[in-house]
Amino acid sequence: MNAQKPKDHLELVALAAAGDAAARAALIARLQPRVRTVALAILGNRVDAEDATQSILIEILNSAAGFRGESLLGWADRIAARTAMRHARQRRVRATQSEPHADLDTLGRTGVDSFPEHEIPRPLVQYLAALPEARRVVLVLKHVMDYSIDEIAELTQTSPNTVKDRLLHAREQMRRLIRRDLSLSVAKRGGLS
Amino acid sequence: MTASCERWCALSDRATLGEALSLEEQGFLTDHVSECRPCAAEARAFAALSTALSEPSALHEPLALGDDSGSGQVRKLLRRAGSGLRARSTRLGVGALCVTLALGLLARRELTPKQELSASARVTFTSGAVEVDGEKARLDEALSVDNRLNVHAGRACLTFDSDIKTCLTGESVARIAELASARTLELRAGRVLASLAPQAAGRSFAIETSAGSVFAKGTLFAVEITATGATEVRLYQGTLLLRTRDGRELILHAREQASLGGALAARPLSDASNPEDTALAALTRLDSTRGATVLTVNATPAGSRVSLDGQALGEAPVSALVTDGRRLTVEHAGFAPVSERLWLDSTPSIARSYELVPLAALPLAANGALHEHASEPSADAQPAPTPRGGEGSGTGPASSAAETSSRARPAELLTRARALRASGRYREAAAVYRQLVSSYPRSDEARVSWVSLGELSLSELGDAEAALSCFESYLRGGGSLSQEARYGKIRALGKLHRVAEERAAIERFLVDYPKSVQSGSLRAKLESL
Repeated sequence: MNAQKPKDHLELVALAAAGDAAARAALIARLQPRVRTVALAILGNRVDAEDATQSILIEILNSAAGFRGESLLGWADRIAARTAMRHARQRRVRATQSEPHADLDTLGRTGVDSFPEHEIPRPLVQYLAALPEARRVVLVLKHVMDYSIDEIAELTQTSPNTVKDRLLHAREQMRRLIRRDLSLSVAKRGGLS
Repeated sequence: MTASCERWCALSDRATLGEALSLEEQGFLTDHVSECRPCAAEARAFAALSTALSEPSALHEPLALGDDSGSGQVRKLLRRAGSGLRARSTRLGVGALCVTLALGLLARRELTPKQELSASARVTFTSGAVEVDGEKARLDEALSVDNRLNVHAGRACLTFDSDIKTCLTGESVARIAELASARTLELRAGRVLASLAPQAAGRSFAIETSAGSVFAKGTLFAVEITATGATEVRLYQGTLLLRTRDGRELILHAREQASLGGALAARPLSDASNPEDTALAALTRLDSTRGATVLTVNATPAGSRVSLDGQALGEAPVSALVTDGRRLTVEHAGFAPVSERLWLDSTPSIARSYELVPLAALPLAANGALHEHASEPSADAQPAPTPRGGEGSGTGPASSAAETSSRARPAELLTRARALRASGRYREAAAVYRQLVSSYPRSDEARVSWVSLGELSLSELGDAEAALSCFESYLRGGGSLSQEARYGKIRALGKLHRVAEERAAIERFLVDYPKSVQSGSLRAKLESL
């Protein structure tokens, strides 16, 4: 499937749009791992990511009729990013409703401070989960999906300066967490030896 | 955090935002990460993020913190780098310039002499007219000893093994002199810039000219044969051994230069940001992975400039090794630029041919779909990039002709102004912006244009008075670009030396946007006023 050319993609998506079961299955098989990665990176936890993955795949199939033969992965990435962000927004709304006085800047993060030290070294997804949602989204769109600042501004409906601001803060937060874990790791090793 | 670490972090942040770094700064990124565990861990984290789409397990694997507990991830990342699966990180001209450098360095450090025993050389980039032994150079083709590279025009890059990158400028002639442990390139004319990581024991790289030899173990340097026939050596990083034909030797250190022949003496580098060396150094960072997709770009009119992820490659025709997802742009003054993101799907080669459309010939476009009109891709190319918007969404139901016409005019002017600006025709762009704000002062396009015209006046036309007037015009009405407009106003006041007003504007800006991306530099500016 990887060696498929754009024309093949166009045909595959066209068939999927027409309801061909085999084509829909093939399209899902082709895109699911990538879509799941996008969802996990943007949402920061597996449960929400699984829900979002289903929504993204449905959205892809529903949008198949509009596929114009451009890059399949680029087209799917945009749908995945937008749908995952919508899930994140909905999750934030639910959290705000259940915690009306919560600090908006901390909503949507797991809180790495509560992670046990024995989990060091941690998987990357834990570092992503520790970021507030708005910063995590920008960081993922930039570093995982490689969108430009302008593209991220368009996707997140904010100004380029806001994107830069969030990106730098997200990087700074990741930096602090990584350095803190490195210190803990060194201390732990020193203590054991 | 040490001062070096703070500098590394600041530089990697700048690179992430797409700012260009000097050769010295790029060298610092590479050098520092090789000796600093926290910065190396950070570099690995961002490198791993950039692999996540092609290698989803990257998100689940423990981050290597630089001690034994995470060394497995490092090795895995290095394997991906070697196999070309690390496609996304290698195309990150973005934030991960530092990451790419860091990984490259780590990869090189992990290579054993045994892995490097088979010396090879390949052409990994060409622009313009480049020949090997009198025939058009083919990308990724293995070269042998005595093969002769002739860069008639444009630029070309040779990669020795996987870790020695050399790029030559136009009117250069070079010959592969040796492909054993001491890999040697003989430069007969022109200029070459070489970038190489620290070499394993017993391995070295040399450039020979008629005046002598330059030996390197791990460094970034340029060798140029000048119009007078002299050999000039400029060293940006590391150390070099220079040896003249009559056996005299000189150790050259970073930021020094010397002439081979005559009085062999080191002197300070006269131009640390030599533009041609800088351009060649940028080309050495292009992907050179064996088996990567070969991209060939042709374009008319002649002289059309090609870039990948904003990095200039030169004038078409251009051939380069590329990885998935990079943004290709072709532009020419007076013509509408085209841009598309490349999705390769493991294709061994792709070709693009564009016929750029003169700006004057552009049809009216209400939605800014300039690229659709501008590109004429070849039969084997993917369709032109779609205009931005929702997936699968059309342009919506047609409105009445009069409505369309009244909306199209300011949009068309804005599109035209942006295209002119993108093609470097700043004065013409400014004229169109002015026409827009005077003809349609109440349109959304005019509002946006005040800020664009202000930036253009300030950054490109050197007219701070005009810029200030534009930013103030925008701020009178306010809007979503107020932060940008206020920042522009501060810079304009600074250029006009209106210190008291500048100080007041900065203070107000910091109150309203205390955590903005500009706040750090503005606080520093405030202290200096």
